[in-house]
Amino acid sequence: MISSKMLTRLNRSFVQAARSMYIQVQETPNPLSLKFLPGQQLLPDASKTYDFSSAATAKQSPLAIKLLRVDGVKRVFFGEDFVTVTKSDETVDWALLRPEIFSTIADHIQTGKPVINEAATVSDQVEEDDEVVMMIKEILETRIRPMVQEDGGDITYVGFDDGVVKLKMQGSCTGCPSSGVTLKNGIENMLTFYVPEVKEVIEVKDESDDLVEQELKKFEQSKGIKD
Amino acid sequence: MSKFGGATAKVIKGALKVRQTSFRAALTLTNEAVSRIRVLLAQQNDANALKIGVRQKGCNGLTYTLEYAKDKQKFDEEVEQDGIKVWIEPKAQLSLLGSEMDYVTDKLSSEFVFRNPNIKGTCGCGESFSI
Repeated sequence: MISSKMLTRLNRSFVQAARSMYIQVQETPNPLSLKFLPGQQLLPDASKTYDFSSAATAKQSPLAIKLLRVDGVKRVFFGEDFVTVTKSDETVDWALLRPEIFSTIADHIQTGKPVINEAATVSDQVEEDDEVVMMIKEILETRIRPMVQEDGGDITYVGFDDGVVKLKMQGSCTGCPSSGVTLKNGIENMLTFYVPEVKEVIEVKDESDDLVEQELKKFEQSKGIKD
Repeated sequence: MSKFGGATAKVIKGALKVRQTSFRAALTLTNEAVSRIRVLLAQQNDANALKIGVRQKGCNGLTYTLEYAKDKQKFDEEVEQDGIKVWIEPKAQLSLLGSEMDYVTDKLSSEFVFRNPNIKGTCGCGESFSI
């Protein structure tokens, strides 16, 4: 909640606003990801999270577009009160990225615009789940997601077939060297313990992400641009 | 939550001593463990339960920690047995589910022991484990 004093400060110059806003940084298990906490709520709906890996998919979030324009930023993930930024590769220096990320986040919060434009959001489909799927979703929601979000990531349910639960990992979990271990030994252990019908848990890669990346590569090649 | 210094417990891989019930509890305590926890909690004025956490520590990856706790955190799993409460941290739940907690006394030592079917290995003294 922004106090009136904070609002007064925000109306001053950008530099002062940036200084008065304290953005905390936390490391995540993924060495390519950092978690930024501006100290206030970013998303109106605490149960939703957003993961953007390219400007094409980030149209509903002006802040994500700005962050993805920073050289070296590969992925942006929004939780209720945090932003997880993933850099392109090991060679990118966090020392150079951090100030740009700080100023981008502070600048956007200063404008007062929402992080996510809800009008562009596709409404969730309401399906009739059977009892087993409901149990799986409840365990994910109440036990697994809060712990994963603490590390700057998220896990979403994709499907359940023949004893195999399919999950998609987002934020700092994408590309994290620990995520395979966490998924197989931790989450699979928890789900198989509480839901006997679950035999295995596998990670699902995002097909649309791959598609977008392929199209971008084709476009860049046709324009003669090389990474 | 009040912390009066942490303690660690031994971890071994193995089958449970207590017979498996139809309802699967997150953690099973033996009678010896219940008695020992009751004695320990009786000595503390403002502790309501024993809290189990997990830390990146030791020579084989992870280590369980034991602490006295007054308040139950939002996502802690509560196990109550014979009037004794044990609270398990969310991250510890990932590897601890289905384990048995015992208290073993012999001539050399007396300590809490977790019989954990989920772990892959432990170090020599059993303080740390890997999953």
